[in-house]
Amino acid sequence: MSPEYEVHLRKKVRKGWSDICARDPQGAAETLRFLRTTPERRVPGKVKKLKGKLKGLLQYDVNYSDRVQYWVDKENNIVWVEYAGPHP
Amino acid sequence: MAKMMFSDEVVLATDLKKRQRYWFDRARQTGGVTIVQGKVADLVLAPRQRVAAASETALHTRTAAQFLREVITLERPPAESAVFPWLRELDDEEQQEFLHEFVDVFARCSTKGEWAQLEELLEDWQATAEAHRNPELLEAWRTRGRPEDYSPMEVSDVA
Repeated sequence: MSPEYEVHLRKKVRKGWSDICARDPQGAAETLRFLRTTPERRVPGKVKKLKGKLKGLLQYDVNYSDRVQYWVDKENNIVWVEYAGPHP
Repeated sequence: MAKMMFSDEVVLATDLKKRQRYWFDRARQTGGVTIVQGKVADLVLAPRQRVAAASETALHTRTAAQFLREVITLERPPAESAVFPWLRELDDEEQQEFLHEFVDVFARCSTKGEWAQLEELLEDWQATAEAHRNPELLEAWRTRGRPEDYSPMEVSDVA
């Protein structure tokens, strides 16, 4: 059984995450569950692996308009969320 | 091209009507049977999945041809692409990286006839291009990993 990850959110985007929770509680709950259990699992159309200078970052599309962007520290089982909010 | 996609086997419309089950099985086995009605042979009985795969291949091949025409024949920088307009958000180095990956993955997918990897590549690069429009993320990525900048994201955060 794979380990559960701790999920750490950048303080600056806490408001963005709260807004997502208010707009789409079910999507937010699914997002958090995904980050805690299988943050590197590829889900077509839902999870993207950023490239180029952003290689290492992953993106999970919460819904049509919201996303979280994060990276995974596999050594310590931590997911670091760098952005949570609407598509720019 | 049509002969490569479907077998050369033909069936008269009247025979098809009489022996439907046999010809359905033949179409499944051979990948497609041409139906002749009178003197016209412009219809085919073919497995749905085969036709869908052919359409998918045609779509991706057309996209690739248009993009490669832009960057090779017309010698436009990828940033001016009309096929992938989001490329302009990437810097020169990333555009070249995309170009190399695109050609490589397109070649592999066209050999196998499976396009998921190319679709994934395009999704990833488009998401990357969009991420470049977000200065908050770029700054966060530059200064990532300082524990004091983060706090636990708990289930209780979800209302």
